[in-house]
Amino acid sequence: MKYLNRILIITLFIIVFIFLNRLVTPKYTESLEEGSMTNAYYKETTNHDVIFIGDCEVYANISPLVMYENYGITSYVRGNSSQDIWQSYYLLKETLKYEIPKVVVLNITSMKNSKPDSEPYNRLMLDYMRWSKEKVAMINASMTEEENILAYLFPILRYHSRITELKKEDIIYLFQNKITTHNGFLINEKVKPAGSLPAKRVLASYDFADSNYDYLDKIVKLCKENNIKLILMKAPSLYPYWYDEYNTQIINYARTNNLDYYNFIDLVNEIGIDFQTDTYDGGLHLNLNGATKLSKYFGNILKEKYNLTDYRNDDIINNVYKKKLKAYYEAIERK
Amino acid sequence: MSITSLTFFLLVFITCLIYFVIPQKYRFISLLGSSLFFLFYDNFNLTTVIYVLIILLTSYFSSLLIYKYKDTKKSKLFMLIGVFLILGILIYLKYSNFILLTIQNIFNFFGSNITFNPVTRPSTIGLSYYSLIMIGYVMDVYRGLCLPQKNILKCALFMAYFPILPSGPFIRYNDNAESLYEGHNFSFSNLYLGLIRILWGLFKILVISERLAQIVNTSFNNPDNFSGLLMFLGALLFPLQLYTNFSGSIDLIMGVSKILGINLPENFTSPFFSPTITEFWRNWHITLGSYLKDYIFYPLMKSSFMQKLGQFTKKHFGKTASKKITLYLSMFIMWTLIGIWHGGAYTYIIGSGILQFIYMLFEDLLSPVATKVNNKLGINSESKIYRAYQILRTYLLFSFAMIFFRATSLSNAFTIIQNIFTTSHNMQITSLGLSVANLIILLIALLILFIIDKISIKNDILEKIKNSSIELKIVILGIFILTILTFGMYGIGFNASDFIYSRI
Repeated sequence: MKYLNRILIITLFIIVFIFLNRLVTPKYTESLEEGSMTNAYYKETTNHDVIFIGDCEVYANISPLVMYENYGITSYVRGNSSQDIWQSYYLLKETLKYEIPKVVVLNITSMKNSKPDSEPYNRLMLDYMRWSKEKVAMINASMTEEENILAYLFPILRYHSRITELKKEDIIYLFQNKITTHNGFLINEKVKPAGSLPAKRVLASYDFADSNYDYLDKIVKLCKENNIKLILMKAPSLYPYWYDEYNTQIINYARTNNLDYYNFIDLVNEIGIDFQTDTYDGGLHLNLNGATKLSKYFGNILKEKYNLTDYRNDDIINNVYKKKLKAYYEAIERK
Repeated sequence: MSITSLTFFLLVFITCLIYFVIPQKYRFISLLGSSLFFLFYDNFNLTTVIYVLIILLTSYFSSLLIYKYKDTKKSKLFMLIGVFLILGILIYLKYSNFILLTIQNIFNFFGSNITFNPVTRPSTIGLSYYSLIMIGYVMDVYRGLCLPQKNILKCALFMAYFPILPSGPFIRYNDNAESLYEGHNFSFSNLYLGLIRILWGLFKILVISERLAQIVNTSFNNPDNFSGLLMFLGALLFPLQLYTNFSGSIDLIMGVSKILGINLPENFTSPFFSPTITEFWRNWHITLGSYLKDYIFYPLMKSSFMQKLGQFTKKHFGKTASKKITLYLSMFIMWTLIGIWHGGAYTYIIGSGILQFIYMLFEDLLSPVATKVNNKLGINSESKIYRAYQILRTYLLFSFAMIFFRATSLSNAFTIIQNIFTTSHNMQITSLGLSVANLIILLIALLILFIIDKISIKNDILEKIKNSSIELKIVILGIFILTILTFGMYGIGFNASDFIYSRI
């Protein structure tokens, strides 16, 4: 009996500890919605033919539901703010544990970044990622100097000061996160026309880091092993500059590895993107309008060139996506 | 290495692991290894190693020679060589700039424009502690209070036992050395009590002191922006910040030592419940006070100069006045040295030295007057209200002195004092850097601290916990851990501020 009491007391403390960890972790619902993106994927009930991986340039520019509505393509955006290439690799590895898509589209802007530089971005991506060996590896690869893995294991070590700043959302979404994206797409309907941009700087070096190429090689290998068609893409943007030197390196890499590469910056006119109306931040990212145009354009390429199934005739999938589309347009309406 | 850092706790963990695994006879070597790692972790270079070695070798050989030539004049000579060599290194490394600045000020006062550029001296953490500890050791051997340590490794461990390097307490060879050498066995009771003591220290530092630091730093660092009550609040809270930081680090050190089975002398016994400054210093940084009494005050009182002064004053002013004059002069010298020890700056000398001496001087001089006034007015000096008044008075006096201690310069201290007496329209307490929620947490934590401090005046709380049921022990441990993790101020973007009492 006395041992039972002790076990009960210890269990109670563990429960309180878990509760406190959960309580102070940001819920990313009313602000910083990007933080709930990794988690939203786990709520998916059907598989996807296409997985988009990359930074904000995928979750802001590609709308999977527009692709479905127009071409019946099932897809999901596994994008995160400032997702680095090593994070893309581990996130893809994790994704392949849940499903094997026909196509993976990788946005290659992150090839520019050679080392971890932002703890908050790491947090946005990792806080709600499920624990797995991929997550541990991603944490180890992503940590800045001031971080340690313990603070990921026990978020209270990082977020304890939030105990004095708790909001209603922290209680409401204590055990259940709110899904704020639509198959990984984050709606932003605002318009901020492109204005004058900073002058192009001459860089000391335009070469991507060897370590980044290593991760890109790993992604290529992973896709080959799983019989997945890997496509490289560069989302349309005016800034930060995607230098010709960057572009040439990707073209060469794609040629060497027999990959398709779409640089949508070169296709802006063909897609019909107008940076006076189709961007929410002056040319860095597309808004809803721009994302819809790009998704229709890219969806058509995917459909035509990669022979993807049109699931609009599949009752089960179509029913799921009907609900998703309804929620999608309701969300647009609310905005 | 901060003693609240993960690195420190990792070092403690590895030390304990090695300590309890290796044969008892060699356990002190594991402590020495950790101590050397800690000593040179932040500043490892040949120069610092040489200075540390000089202090160690000086104390080691001088103590052996003192013993060899005991009862001869040579014994005193070796003692003086030992003491002055160690003291010389301490002064050279720590007080060169202060001495140069003082010389410069004297020259400037007499119209000369001489200027000295500050110099950077190599140093290690705990220099002020281990050099004084070794001076005490050499003097103890000379006085015949202890035998010299023949094993140089043991001597090195006594000098640099790592937990005490950042903020003490001062240890004595006779009382503590054997405990460092003997090699204790692991005990769950020690582990538990040690952990509780560590957590209590962390509670003081991370939950209370770091919150107080926000208020104190905001007000003291921006005296032009704060005046009246807010500035007063900053000045009033600094002693509490100092206390929770310093005594918290001592708790942590005692806890680590307890796990290893090593008992260290207590450094604080609820000082803020003291009715007089004299009593306050009996409860505050106790080991420093007792060290200075034994190695400076008493030798000074017994010195031939004081004896002669005593005879001279006795002849001219009478027996009572003569005793007082020699006493006050010795006290003045001792308190000035305490001020200097706290740091080579006039602010320290005034704040923690001369003002403390003045308080005690007046306490001694006015004590008969106060008794007479109380008797005439019918005030019961034993009543709780009167005691509360005395405690408050002591706290206010100490707070006033600490304005100098905390200020960046004397003029800064006077600006702060002036601002306290200036009316301010800004009464927004949150402008001092803490949100309302954090202020509430601070108040509750302070209340807990005062209750525990009050209880511990007459009770050994750790002993009571030791004798409690296992269930209660688990509850206490759990509450401590959860409270510190949740309400502590630590982690990314928030480094525990440097220990105020950390001496290099």
